[in-house]
Amino acid sequence: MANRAGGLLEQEDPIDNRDIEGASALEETLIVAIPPEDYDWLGGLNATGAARTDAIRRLHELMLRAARFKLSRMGEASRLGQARADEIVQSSADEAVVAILARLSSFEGRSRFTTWAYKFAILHTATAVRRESWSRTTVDLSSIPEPISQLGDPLTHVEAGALSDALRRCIAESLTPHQQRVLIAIVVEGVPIDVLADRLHTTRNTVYKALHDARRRLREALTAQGYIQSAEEVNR
Amino acid sequence: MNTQDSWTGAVLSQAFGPFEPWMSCDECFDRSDVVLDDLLDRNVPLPGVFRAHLAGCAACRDEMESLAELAAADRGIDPAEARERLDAQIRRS
Repeated sequence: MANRAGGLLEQEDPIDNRDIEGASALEETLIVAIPPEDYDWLGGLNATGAARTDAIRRLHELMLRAARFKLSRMGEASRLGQARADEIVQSSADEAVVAILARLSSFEGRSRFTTWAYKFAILHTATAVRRESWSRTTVDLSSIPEPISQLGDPLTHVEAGALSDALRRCIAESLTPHQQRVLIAIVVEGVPIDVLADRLHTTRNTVYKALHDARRRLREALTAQGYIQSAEEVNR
Repeated sequence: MNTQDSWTGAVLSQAFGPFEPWMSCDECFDRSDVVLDDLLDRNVPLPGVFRAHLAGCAACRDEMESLAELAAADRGIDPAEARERLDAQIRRS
């Protein structure tokens, strides 16, 4: 969610980058063996001086671990190369620390601090990997691709063709051009939602709303034409 | 499955998908830690709005699954088991 992450980075109370640099420089120093879940994160991060520096170092370590974990779970990351993967892990951990410090006052203690913090590293890492993986791929946002005619059983061909035609008609007649582009890019072409948001110069939220509205309109159109049953009919 | 079937199936699944009620990706992100900890620590089912969003947004689901695995590891829970618990909740939608 690059746009949202970017927004977080631009929030009030900017964080002095020397905090993170100082923390990185201290990474080789002794770490007191307190499990992350038992450490007083709010106390440390809201402290001043050495206590705050130590807390930020710990947080950066935690974010590095989460970023490495996320990257290891993404198949597309295997094509990045080790050097680029390491860069993404480092930058994602850095960005996560900045975002967490900027939003620290919004943490309500309704979850573990570590769970709350992990999601920032996961978001930044996943977004960076997806963006990198699609960076050399052109996404055609100008048209709906034509389904290729099949060979084989004539009856199946006719039925599938009729349904496919109905779908295309519903898409063309019921969806706006923007909804058509979003639906086809995500559902048919497999473009990740945050990558598509980048290409359309908008936000992940906006793209998901367009997709959601497209789904609803498509369902309504197919129901009206008798291709699928409405929920009321199914439950009757 | 050939290209036409694939195209038709992919698009048709959008009409059948359990994507209601609406929730934004931002709200999903904001609430994901609380919802997940409730699931892992107290076996509280995912709210319906969460199940619907995760069924409809591949990126949020991917990130939530990773969060489940990381949070599980902190608790001494098998990450694969935590992920399966999450996926089972999404399949309920």
